[in-house]
Amino acid sequence: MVDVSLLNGSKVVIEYLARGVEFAAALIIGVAAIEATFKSVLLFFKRSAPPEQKNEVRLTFARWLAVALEFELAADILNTAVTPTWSDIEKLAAIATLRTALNYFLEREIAQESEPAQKAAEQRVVGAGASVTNDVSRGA
Amino acid sequence: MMFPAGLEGRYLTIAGTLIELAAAVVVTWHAMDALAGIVRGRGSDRARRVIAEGVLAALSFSVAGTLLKTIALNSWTDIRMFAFVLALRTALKHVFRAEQRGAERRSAGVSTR
Repeated sequence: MVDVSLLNGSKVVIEYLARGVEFAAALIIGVAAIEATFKSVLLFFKRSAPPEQKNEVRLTFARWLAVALEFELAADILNTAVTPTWSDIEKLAAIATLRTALNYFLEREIAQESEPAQKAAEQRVVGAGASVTNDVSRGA
Repeated sequence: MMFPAGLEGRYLTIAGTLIELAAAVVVTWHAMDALAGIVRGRGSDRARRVIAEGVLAALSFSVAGTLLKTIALNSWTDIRMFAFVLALRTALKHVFRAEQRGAERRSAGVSTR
């Protein structure tokens, strides 16, 4: 029957496309992990580096992970496009939840990191005098 | 795989499958676009935005395709599945919209990048 072969053929093609998109996600994670490792080793041997640089490495890595999750979402949508099973749909829902949560916390962390005035105020409460003047002069 | 015996049902199924294929093409195209942008060093934020757009468009397509097939197949499992995909699509759309608004607010205010 024509429609059955169309359905099966499109399912096979889409599975290949989904594999390709998943491979792209894996590629991004791999390259980002290598980059983060390299930067971490450099920072480890440079003991005088400020903690902001470590945060920068972590946040950059997390941002690439968010991109990879977005690719995973695209791959799962491909898998649910033609004749989805419940397992496909559940996976799609799980990835969607994960990427949303990761993005939310990532945005919050980036916002916290990039507010020197707020950070200076927090440190003033703690009472670390030297680092306050340091922060204020860098923020100005 | 079950198909309705009626001719119109078969046409509806074929049309639905074609629309779902279009959804797959759209999301694949956007993923390739995003990957090309990453390779050219255009940053992770752009890639995320492009994929989000592709995912939203594809979800809209696949809802239309699934709706057509639901008319044809009309079993409770399919209807439940359709309802779930529709709910998922709506939730994702709201999330993407909220994230876009946040990004705009940030770029309008103090530069954070």
